[in-house]
Amino acid sequence: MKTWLIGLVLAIGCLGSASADNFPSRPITLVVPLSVGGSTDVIGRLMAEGMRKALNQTIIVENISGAGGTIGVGHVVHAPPDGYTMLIGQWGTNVATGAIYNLNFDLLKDLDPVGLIATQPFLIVARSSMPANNLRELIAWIRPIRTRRRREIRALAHRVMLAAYCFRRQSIHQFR
Amino acid sequence: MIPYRGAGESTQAIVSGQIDVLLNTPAVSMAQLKAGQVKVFAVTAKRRLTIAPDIPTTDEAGLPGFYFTFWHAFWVPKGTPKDVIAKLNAALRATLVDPEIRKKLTALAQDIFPSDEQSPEALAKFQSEEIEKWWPIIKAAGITAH
Repeated sequence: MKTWLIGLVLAIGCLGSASADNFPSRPITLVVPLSVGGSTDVIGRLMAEGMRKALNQTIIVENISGAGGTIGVGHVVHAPPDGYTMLIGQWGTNVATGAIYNLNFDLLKDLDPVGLIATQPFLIVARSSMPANNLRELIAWIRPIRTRRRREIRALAHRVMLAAYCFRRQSIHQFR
Repeated sequence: MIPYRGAGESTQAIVSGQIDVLLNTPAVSMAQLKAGQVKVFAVTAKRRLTIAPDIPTTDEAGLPGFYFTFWHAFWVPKGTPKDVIAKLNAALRATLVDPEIRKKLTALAQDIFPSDEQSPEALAKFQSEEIEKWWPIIKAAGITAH
């Protein structure tokens, strides 16, 4: 009985410390929902290096990959909400998957945001022999060929971007 | 519209002039631009790239609102105490002003979010906007997991 009581007191003590001023008092796990070596992994490890100094605490990077990142994101959704499990995610894992997979969690409601890190835009690139010298000229060059409107070009371009995502980010696509 | 499976194949196709236009990451395109092998017309974001400040944004170049950026962020499980999130956010901010980390992120063609966009609230707002924008496009395109 006495042992049981001590156990209970200790357990309550532990629960109390989860939100206390001494956070973080033990190592934090950073979940990377994609495999080792990809851009999310590289950025995650770089950030972990800096945050380790800022928090004066060990940060363990754990890759939990699979199903477009949804397994790793799901792992964090169901982890104890005490700050000792953190997720690095991105446009693919925390926006696109919600429209592609049948998730058993809500990307907005079942996670709390910590903050944005960095972003990588794409470039609109043309062959060097392209007669157009800027984007306006390019649109003008495309338009007579197919008599496309700007709105249609934009809709098409969005599909191109999606295709780029589906074929992995390094894939490149033509629109004409 | 032709999907290419790898950067090598498509890079060859644009450099040799087999294709007219493509979207590519700055990491791959900048080398070709410097070698005069391609023309670069715009960056698909609200802000110009730190590593290539001469390239205009799509807003400036004549295709306003045409954004596609591949961004990263941190989350924790729902219900994490606010003061704990504040400490993690402070560590995130401290990391993003660290000159060494900034240099390494920039070298990866990453554009660091300005400090007024580094709050948890800014992430919540941005993620909602992105979901609102992209889910209809993804669903209309009929993309599935397999």
